[in-house]
Amino acid sequence: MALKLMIVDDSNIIRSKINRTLSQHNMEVVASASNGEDAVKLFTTHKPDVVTMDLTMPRMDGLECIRALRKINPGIRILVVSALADKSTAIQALKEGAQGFLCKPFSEADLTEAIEELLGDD
Amino acid sequence: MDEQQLRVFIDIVSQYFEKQTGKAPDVGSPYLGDASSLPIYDFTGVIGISGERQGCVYVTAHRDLLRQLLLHVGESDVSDNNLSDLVGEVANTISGNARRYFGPDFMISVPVVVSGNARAIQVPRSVKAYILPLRWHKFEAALVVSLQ
Amino acid sequence: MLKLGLGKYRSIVILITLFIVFDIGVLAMTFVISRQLTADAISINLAGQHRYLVQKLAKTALLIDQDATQGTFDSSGKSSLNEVKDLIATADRFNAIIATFDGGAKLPDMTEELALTPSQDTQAAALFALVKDLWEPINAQVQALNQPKDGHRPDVGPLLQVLIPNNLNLLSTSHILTSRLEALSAAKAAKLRAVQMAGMAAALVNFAFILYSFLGQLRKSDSAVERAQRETEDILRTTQEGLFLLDPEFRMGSQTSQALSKILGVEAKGGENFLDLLKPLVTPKTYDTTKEYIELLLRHDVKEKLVASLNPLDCIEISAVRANGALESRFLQIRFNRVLQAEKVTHLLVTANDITRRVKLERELKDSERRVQDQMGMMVHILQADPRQLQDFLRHASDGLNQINEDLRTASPTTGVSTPRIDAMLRIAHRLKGDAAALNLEAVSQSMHAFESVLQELRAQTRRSSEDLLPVAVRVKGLYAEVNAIQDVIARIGQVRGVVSVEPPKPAHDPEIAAQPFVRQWRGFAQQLAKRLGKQVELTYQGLDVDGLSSQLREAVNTSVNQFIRNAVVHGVEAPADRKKRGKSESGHLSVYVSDQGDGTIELSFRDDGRGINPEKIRLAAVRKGRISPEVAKGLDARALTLMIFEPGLSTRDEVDEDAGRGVGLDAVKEMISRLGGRIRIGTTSGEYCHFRVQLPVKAEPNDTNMPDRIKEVA
Repeated sequence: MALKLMIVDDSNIIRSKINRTLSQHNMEVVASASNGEDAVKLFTTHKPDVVTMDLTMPRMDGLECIRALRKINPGIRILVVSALADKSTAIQALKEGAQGFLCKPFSEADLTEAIEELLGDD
Repeated sequence: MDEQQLRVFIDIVSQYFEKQTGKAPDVGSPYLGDASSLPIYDFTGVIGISGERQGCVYVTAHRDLLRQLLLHVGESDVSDNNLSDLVGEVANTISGNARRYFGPDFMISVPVVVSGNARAIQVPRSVKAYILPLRWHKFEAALVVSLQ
Repeated sequence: MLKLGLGKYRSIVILITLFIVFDIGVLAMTFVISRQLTADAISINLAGQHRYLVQKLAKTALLIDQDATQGTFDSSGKSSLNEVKDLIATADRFNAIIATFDGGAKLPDMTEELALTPSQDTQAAALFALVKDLWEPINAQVQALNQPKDGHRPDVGPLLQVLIPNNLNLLSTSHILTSRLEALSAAKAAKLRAVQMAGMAAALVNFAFILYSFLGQLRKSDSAVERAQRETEDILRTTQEGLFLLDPEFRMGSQTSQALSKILGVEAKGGENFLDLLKPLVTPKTYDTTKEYIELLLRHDVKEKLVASLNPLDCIEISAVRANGALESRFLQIRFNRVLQAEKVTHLLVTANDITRRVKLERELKDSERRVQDQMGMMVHILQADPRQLQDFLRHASDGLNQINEDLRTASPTTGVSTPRIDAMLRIAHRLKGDAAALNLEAVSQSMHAFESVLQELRAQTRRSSEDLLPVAVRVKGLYAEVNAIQDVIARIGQVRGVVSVEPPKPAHDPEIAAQPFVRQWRGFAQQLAKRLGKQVELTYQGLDVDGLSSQLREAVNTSVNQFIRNAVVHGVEAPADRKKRGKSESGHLSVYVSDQGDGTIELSFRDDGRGINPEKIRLAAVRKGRISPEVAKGLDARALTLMIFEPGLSTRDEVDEDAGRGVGLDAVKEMISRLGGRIRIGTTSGEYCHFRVQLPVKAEPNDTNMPDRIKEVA
């Protein structure tokens, strides 16, 4: 069964790039959101297995959003996809419960590799 | 960029003299010199710079100037050792203060003192160095900034 | 068999089990022997009792007999009766013992069966049979006494008859039997003891073996540990990487590789706090981020591979001082890998590498890439430019810069640089700007423009301290660098040309000198400038071959023409629509003429058909710029006003830009011409034309710039 994916990113281009890439890798994109608030709403209705998460977004940033999603489903797998402007913020996001970090800009191969790593066993 | 850095170096040296003796040195007009034609007086305190810019900054002074400076601060021992220490201290002051002004991309070493016509001072050859002549009580010194 | 995690302890466990088995065996043997001895003692005792019973029987029988013969037997016969009873009891006891020895029966005071019976030994059995044979008649007589008749005296006569002859015999036989049984028992005990001793010996041997093999194994495992340790030490001593383990309290493990201290540049000892070690090497922010990153790896459910890009120590720069004061900077890469035990992160393996060479190489590559790109653009223009012109420019430029630097160096320490010196600098800068633009060296032209701005600013200041000259020095340094860069490019092109051996340019078929490089360049410059200003111009040339002039004259002509072009296109030539209105052709016309006067001078004539010079505009500009007071301005005639275009710092153009408006160009030309001992004249009619005529001696007679001006106005 295809894994359900939710994309959270305020950039249209990034959203469609992730969508395009991961749709070809046995993942079903069930929702995409451009801000944290929408992400939380969509998360409860669509119950995705995996989330890709931008950190700097309008209306509830990535950190807060990760916290909220983890509250709803502690087992959720989250890949932070963000520019490397501030390593410290990214580390904060991982401490909040995301499992991986992918640096923007990324290639399609980078993304699929990261998702495979994210879903693989430890 | 260069300009601010030069100002910082000049200010540090001026303040040092002013604090120690109550009289800041006169700063002559800045000009440029090739690595082969830089002023080097009797005692020279060198600090190395690395990071974004590479090169060195040195302050070089006549024996007489340093001797006067020592006497000004109430030190009667004007042996070469003490003169050398003094120029080292000036360089040290530059090094210590400059650290505060420049970011982490600009690294400054602790000073090294050389006496005499030191060839050991490594100056970048490919660029011209700034020469900032200093005059204090008619004695000459110079601050040289050579950065790539 | 013994597979349950015994591993290397398997043999030792077997040995110890054996030891215990032996010990239990010996113990059991001891128990058996002592039981046996007890049991045998009973048999021996019983056999001994026979002797006693026989004696007692004889004594009692004789006693009864004596009573009877001596008449001491009382009338009631009671005592005799008791003695008879005793006799019978003794005999019964004898019988019971026999029965016991025969097996089956048990004595009432015995709890167990006998372990040792005469039947176990032929000799004992024979003796026992003899005892029984001897006993049988005696027993029969005793039993006969068992039916006492009241009042009758018991008659022990028959008993004594069999007893007396057999008594001693029975006694000794019993005695021999007892001895025999004793001997048997002793033999059995000896045999058991031998077995016991053997068991103990076996246990001891086993113990010795255990000790031996256990110690051996211990020594073997010790040496294995030692070997492993030695290997680890060898690795840690020789590896080029800095290696150590980091525990969750940020402490470094006890073993670190020898290279570590060298790589970090500070003494690193096992057991130290890694963060303390790191603190002086990195910025506070990097320090904080590192702490967070390590915590992340130690305590959070993240994918090691997916967070590696966040490692703040992936490339850090640290610096150290060398003996000569030079600051040596190095780049380090410190990486962290989780060490797992039972799927839990217990430590991080830290690897430190010196990646200075790699980083420097990368930077050099990037730098050279950028330089190549910068140079590419410049190279295109340089390739297009005439080599001689370019050389002239470069020589000009470095002479000019040297001149400026010299002015800085010799400036008065108290008053700084004088206004005339600044004007001289401005002239140099402006001229170089024009030349650079003409050669399409955009970057240099822009830098010169910026330099001019700095000088203008300085000129406006009434007091100029040495510190105010700093920006000048900074600009001059930058310009030196740019000129050097061009020289580098030329050198490179020279190399390429050398390699490819480009054919020398063929002489032009067109005899017209208009095709010469200088003219091409002037034309290109004029048109380019006009295009930028939304104007149109044509340039025509007549006269001698400029290339054939001495380099000094060539430069002077070229610089002058470039400045005249600038002046004409910016100030003189009108916009096409304007020109049309005035009945002129849309294209402005510039004509350049250079001729040998035959009197040791050459003349350069430059004429444009633009709007000419408007004295009123100059009057206004001069007042606005504060060059002269309005009163003085009022008093000046057209001629005097026209001449002001050669004064420094005057421009009628309102906005200062790269093209003109500095009011420097013409004063630079004037200064240069007078320096060469030439003169310049100007003729103009407002709305119609402007005409410059320059006379230059073919043989240079250099003039000091401070010589009186030689400008004459014609027209």
